[in-house]
Amino acid sequence: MAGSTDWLGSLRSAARSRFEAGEDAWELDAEAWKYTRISEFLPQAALLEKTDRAACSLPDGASAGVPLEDSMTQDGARQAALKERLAKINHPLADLNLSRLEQGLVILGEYETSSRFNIEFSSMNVEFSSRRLLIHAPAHSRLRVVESGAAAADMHNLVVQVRLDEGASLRHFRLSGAHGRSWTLIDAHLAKHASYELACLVCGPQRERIECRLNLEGEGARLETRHLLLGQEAEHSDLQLGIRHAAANTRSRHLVKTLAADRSRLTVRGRIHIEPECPGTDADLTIRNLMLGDACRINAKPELEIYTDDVACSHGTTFAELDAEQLFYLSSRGIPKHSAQELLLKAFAADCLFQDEDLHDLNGAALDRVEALAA
Amino acid sequence: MLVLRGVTAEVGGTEILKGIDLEVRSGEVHALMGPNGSGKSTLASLLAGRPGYAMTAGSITLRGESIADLDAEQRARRGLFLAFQYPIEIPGVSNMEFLKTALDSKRKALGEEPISTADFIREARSQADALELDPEFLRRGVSEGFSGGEKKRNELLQMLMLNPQLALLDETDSGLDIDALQVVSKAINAFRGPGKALVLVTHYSRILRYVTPDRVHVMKDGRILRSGDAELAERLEANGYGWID
Repeated sequence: MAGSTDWLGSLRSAARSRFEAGEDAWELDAEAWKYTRISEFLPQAALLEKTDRAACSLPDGASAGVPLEDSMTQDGARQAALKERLAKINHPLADLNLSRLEQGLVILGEYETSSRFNIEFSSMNVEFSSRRLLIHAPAHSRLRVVESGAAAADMHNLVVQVRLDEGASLRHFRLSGAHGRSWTLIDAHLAKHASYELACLVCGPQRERIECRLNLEGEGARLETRHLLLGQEAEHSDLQLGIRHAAANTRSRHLVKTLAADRSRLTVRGRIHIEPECPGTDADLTIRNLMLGDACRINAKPELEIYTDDVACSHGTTFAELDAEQLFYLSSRGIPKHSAQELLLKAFAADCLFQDEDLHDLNGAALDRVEALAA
Repeated sequence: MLVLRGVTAEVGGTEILKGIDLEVRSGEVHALMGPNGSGKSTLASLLAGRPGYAMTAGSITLRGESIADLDAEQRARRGLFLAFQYPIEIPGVSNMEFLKTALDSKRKALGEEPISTADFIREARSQADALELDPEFLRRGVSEGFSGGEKKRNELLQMLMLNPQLALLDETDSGLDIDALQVVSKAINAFRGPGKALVLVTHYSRILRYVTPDRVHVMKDGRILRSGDAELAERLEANGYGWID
């Protein structure tokens, strides 16, 4: 990479060594990889030698995002912070990401409040892409980030690192529609009174794995996540939602909805961990699963791990098929079966869709998929 | 309009209807009365095509066409409407979207263009006003969070919008306070007329003070044991069902 520095070279080298140590050395959590094999997201060695010429664009004309490449060549405190953050994540696929990282975007502080970024990643390399998105909302800033670009690569590896300083707010919307295999890690750290809203529509990759490591580390931090997973044909999506409450009076709400048809396989593991000395924590995880047919499979597992007494923490998981009474009711009004199913499926998905009016176009991809599921 | 001959039916393997003969002519209003468990709601559900309700003998014709083998959607398109005893809640599907989809489905079946959104909203608001329903109900999920009375009025709103030839009202009067009963009765009277027919399924005769039926039938143990004019309802009010056998 032009402008690469020695520090980056050593980071890459270390990451590559850890990755190439192999599966026996990675200490994978067996429960987290129960339904998905990590090998699904490992490219052939030959692909790793190719140079990726991917690009990241800000189609709405925003200029405040800095290409990762430029950030790497800067001196001083910013470079030190960048170095620390790039190296911070302990995950073999994040090591793979770092060892092959060519393009990405840094959204760092110093920007005006209420900034919005619409990000589209594209790729010239149709076999393997490795991206990183670093988001840093400075104190009391308000950001909205929209990721909408479908990865063109057959295999896509993305790490999103989020840091929200005191009182900062981030609204983060993601439309996932890659056609091949996609692995994404979202690693977020929330400081005191920071607020993070994460909404993700998963509609399309043949193999998708999303891992969220969301950490409420400052008192009064707020977190809300919504995920909609849509599976059809032989698609396989796996959401690993890890929430860590590590400060007092933090609050989080999580809604996951899955809709599986055909021979698709959907997995959701939601884990809320409340550390000691976190009184006033308030957390809830809701997983609602709708199955269309006998051949699909949904594995949903909520987990709570609580080490503080004075907390409110709940979870609820349901599995259902389309409600026969509701279908009869709609049919009794002359609505064709297909339209009735479509209405019910859209209603099921509705509270996971993006509510911002200017994002309704992005909902279209999910709604198209829902219509296809009703067929 | 509607003719049943020797209809027997079972639900879950149990015979509920044991030979129903009934003829409802165009323009008529019939009251189908009887104690709990007599088979009134089973008959209404059977007519609407509810899955699991199987006719085992007899015939059912609507405007001369057998509907016994048609599903609920097909029966609705032929002009049959059932107001549910317990209206179903469908969170996330707005009344507006639901009603427009139903209306457009009907128009499509008739070879007509979909109604314009503006015309639809105008009509829906007008009918909601007639039923003293807040137009805000149109934006909410179907029956979601409605009171019992609001649900029943919402059923009638659908009837007025879809304008069926034959409406079966399954205990639409139950759970209504006296003011709501009068509003509902007014809507039923506005709906009745030439080319249409109504069957009111009810336990009580109080709605019949406001909606005068042309015929009253009393069901017991899966059969219609007695039929008569509006005077029969008055006798039931005075003497109960015990004397019917």
